[in-house]
Amino acid sequence: MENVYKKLQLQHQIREKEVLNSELSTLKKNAKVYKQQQNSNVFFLANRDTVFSECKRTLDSLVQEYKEMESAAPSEDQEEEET
Amino acid sequence: MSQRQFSRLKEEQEKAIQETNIKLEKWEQFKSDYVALKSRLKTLPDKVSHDVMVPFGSLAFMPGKLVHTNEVLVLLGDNWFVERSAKQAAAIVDRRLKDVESQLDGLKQQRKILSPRLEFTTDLTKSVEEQGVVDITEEYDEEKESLWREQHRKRVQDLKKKKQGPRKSSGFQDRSEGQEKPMTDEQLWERLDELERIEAEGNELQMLDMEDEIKLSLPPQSDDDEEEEDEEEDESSLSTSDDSEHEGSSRITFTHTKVDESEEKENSDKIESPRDIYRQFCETKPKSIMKPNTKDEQQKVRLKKKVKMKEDVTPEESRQKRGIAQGPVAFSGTVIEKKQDPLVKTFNARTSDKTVDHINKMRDETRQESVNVKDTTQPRRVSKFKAGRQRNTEPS
Repeated sequence: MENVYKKLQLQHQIREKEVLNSELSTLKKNAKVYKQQQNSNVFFLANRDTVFSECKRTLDSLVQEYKEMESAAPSEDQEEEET
Repeated sequence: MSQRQFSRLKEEQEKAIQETNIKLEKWEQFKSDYVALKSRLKTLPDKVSHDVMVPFGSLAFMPGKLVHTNEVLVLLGDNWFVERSAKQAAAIVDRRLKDVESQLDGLKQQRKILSPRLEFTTDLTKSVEEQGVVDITEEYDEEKESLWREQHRKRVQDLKKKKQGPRKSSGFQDRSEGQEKPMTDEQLWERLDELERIEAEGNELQMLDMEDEIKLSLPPQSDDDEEEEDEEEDESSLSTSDDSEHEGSSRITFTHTKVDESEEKENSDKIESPRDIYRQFCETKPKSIMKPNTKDEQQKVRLKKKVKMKEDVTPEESRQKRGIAQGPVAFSGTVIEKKQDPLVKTFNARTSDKTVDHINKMRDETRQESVNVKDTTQPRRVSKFKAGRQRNTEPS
C-alpha cells in the first residue's frame, strides 16, 4: 500500500519537473526567472541558467528513484500475491 | 483471538503509524523551509537591493525591489516581532532548526516503537492460521463461580465449627486431654479427606484458604496469663477478661480496674507527683484546661484584666474562696512589689503568665499606701516565689 502511494507521488513529481524543464528550455536568454521563497509569496530573482541546471538535476534524481522503485516493487508484489 | 479481533487490532496499529507518518512529513516540511530561509538570509545582505516579484493580493504580482536587505523582523510568536540583522536572524533560524530536529527524532522513535507491534500482530495471525497456535484461555462462568463460592463458604464455616467445638469448654488449661484426642483424630481424617478432594479437583486456591483457616484457629496462648494488677498508689491496671477466649481465637479485651484510693490519701505526706499536690491541697478535682470556658473560667479571665487588690485578704481566706484545701500552705503571703523602673522589664513582666503580678505591681506603685514595699536598696531581682519565702521568714 505504501509503495503504491509513493509510486504515485513520484510519478506526479516527475511530470512536474519535466514540464518545468521544457518550459525553461524555451525561454529567451534575457528572460527573468523568479524563484519562490518557500512558505511565502515572495519571489526572488534568480539566474536563468542556474535554475535550469538545478531543475534538470532534480528531474534526473527523481527518475532514478522511480526506476529503483519499479525494480524493487515487482518482487514485493509477487510475494504478496503468493501469500 | 478471533479473526475480527485481529483485524481490528491491525487497523488501530496501522492508523497510529499513519498518524506518525503525517506528523513526520509536516515536520520535514518545516525543516526544509527553515533551511531554505537560512540560505536566503545568508545571500540577502550580499546585494543592496534585490529584484523581486511583489505579491499583489493573492493572485497578482508586480516587479519590485527589496531595499533594506539587512533589516529583518523576526516573529517570536503571539504577534511579537523583533528587528534583527540578517546574520542574527540566521542564528535564530539555527536554533529553531534544533528544535525541529528534536521533534523529528521523537517522531521517528515513535514510529520505531509502533511498527514492530504491527509486525507482531501480522505474524500472529499467520501463525494462528498456519500452525494452529491457540490462546490459552480459562473458562469463566459467573454462575459457576458464585455457586462454588457458596460451597466454599459453607465448607469453611463447617471447618471452623469443628475447630471451635472442642475449645468452647471452660478454659485452655481445663480441657481434658482424653476428650481432645478422639476429636482431633476425627478432625484429622476429615481434613485429609478435604485435602484429597482439593487435590483431585486441582484447586490450589482452596488449599490456600484452608491454610489460612488453620492459622486462624490456633489457640491464643497467653490470654489467661496477662492478668496483672499494680497495687501501687495511683495506677490503673490492665486485665483481660475471661470472655476473650469464648469470643474467638484472636480477641483480647482490656478493662480498667478501680483502685482503692481511700487508704492512700492519708498515708502519704510526700509529694511525688503533681497529682499528690492536688490531692493534698485541692478539694475539688482539677478541671481540664482543654475544655471550653465555664462561668468560673470567664470570671477568672475578667479578673486578670480588671485587677483586684488582694492585700487585704489573708492567704487562708483567699484559699478558702478558691476552694483549696486547708492543709499546709503551699504558698503564703502576698505579692511583694518592688519599686522598679517601669521601663526596665523584669523577668516576671516579660512572661505573660505573670501578668497579674505585674499589673499588681504597677497599681501598687501608683497608690503607695498599704503596700509592702520591699527593700529598694536591694537592686537584685528576686522571683516572686523566693520573695514569698523570704516574706514567710520575715514576719515569723
